[in-house]
Amino acid sequence: MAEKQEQKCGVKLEPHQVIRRPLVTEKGMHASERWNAYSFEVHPMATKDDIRRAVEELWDVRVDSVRTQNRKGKPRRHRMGWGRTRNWKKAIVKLHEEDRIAFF
Amino acid sequence: MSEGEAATADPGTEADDQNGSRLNLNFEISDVGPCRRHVVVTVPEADIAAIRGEAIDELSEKAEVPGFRIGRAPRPLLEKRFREEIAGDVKQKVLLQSLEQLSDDGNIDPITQPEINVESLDIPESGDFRFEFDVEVRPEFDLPDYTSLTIERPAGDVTEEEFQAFRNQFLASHAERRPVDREAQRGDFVVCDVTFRHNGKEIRRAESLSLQLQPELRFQDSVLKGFDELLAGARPGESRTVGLTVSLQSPVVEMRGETVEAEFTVKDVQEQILPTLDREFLDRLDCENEEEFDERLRDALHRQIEYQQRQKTRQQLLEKITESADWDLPESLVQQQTENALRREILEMSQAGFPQEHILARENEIRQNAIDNTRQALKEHFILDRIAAAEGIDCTPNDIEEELLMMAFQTGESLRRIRARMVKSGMMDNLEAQLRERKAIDFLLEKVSFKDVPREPFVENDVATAPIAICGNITTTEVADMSGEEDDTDA
Repeated sequence: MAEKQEQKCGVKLEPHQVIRRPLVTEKGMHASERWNAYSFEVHPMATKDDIRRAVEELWDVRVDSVRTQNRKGKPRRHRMGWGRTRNWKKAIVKLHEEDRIAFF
Repeated sequence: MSEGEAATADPGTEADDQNGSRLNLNFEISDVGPCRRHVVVTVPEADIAAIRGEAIDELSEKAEVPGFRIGRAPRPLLEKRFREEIAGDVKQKVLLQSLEQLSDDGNIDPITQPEINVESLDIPESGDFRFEFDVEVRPEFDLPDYTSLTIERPAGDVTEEEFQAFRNQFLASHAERRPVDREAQRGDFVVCDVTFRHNGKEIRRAESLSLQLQPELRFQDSVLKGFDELLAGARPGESRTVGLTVSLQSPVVEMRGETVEAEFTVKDVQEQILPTLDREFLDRLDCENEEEFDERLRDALHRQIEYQQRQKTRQQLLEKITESADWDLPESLVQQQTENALRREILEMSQAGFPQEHILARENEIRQNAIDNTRQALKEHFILDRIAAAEGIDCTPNDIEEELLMMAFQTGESLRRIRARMVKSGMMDNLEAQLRERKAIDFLLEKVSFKDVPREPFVENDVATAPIAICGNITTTEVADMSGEEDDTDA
């Protein structure tokens, strides 16, 4: 059943395609210090499993849980009228208590 | 300290943890020439780390990083994001602090900026930071004995003959001229055309020069003695010719020492009518009567004599304190001051219209004169500076204020404008140094003992001047009475 679902999806994302960039923000820093949870912008079609596998492979860590959000783009005004920034997907990855990721 | 010998200065005091103001530096100072030192400075890693920490602290208070409010970005992020700015800041602080400490602890007294190529210096990520540079310092010398000097002071009461000569000279400056129809005699003024010829060729012509018949006539580049005898008995229309020798200091090099023929063609003879001391004349001078007029003249003569006396004593004093000064001067300072003096003189010659070839021909001579004068002036400056430091003589803000007031009064400009101009041109430091040296000279003059010698008596002026040069284009320099020490000799 899982194999049939995988065949149906078609697109297979590589780890470096899943994780687009880390979110280095105040909130992100607070979460990383308090809960050992790291925020990323991820590919909109990446699933939680994809994200888990990508993080574990890229940083060689153990992932406890993954939460994702789909963020709508915000309206912006320019000369030709109104537009929207792009939609994007955020993932918050909680690591095992013994593992860490250092962004800088 | 012999040449080439390295001297290691003791490290500075322990770094002050509370205010972090002092570094644990290590200096190595060696002689590399007259008044020149080579300095090697080593800054330990701990001090660099402390300064780096301060730089990051300052940065974190105002850095704007996307995703963070101001002051909330983490330090590692700041270090990574602003690596170059932090490195530049740290380098600047380390250099500044170490140079300040060097002048305090290193026992050297720099007079020029150290020659450091800041761009090529890089502070290492780890380990001590070491840099070196050359710097010029004040000359080291023993102060001459300035407490037991004897200066010859021209002294003597004003005699009646001197007063009469001064009075006549004053009245002559207010005299009127009246054309007369007779032969010229000494004291008269002749209006004449003067033609100068060299080897038969006319080189210069001056028209309608008004010259007084005096024993000596001075041109800007020559002197004619016996001028009164030359034109004595001349009438309008007559010509008299005489040979002149061009001065060896003439700006036109090829004419120095040459003989030139000068032909004076008299156009008019005028006699000098001295003013009478009537009411109108006395009112013009704001005097009640003749006695008051004479009294003012005596005062003016006294002031003039005192001024000359002061000038002579100062000159002697400076000569005495510098006569044993055979120590070396910092060469770059000598060169810099010489170049300034040379540039000034060449500019004046260009403005006066001298062609480039003449200027180039004289350049070496001007340069040599400038070098000699500069060396003498610098020796005086250093000795007076040391004396001022030894005796605690300093220039107070009051002194500067008074000097600026005097300058404002003399030039007619406002005090604020003069001060602003001085500050903007960076001349304030020079003014301070000048005032300090003047005070040092005054101090020395109080200490010396004077030996009175007969002064040169004041005699009536017997020199006529012509505001032209036989060859060249020297313009007459107008000298404004700027000095506070020059006294007004007019009553």
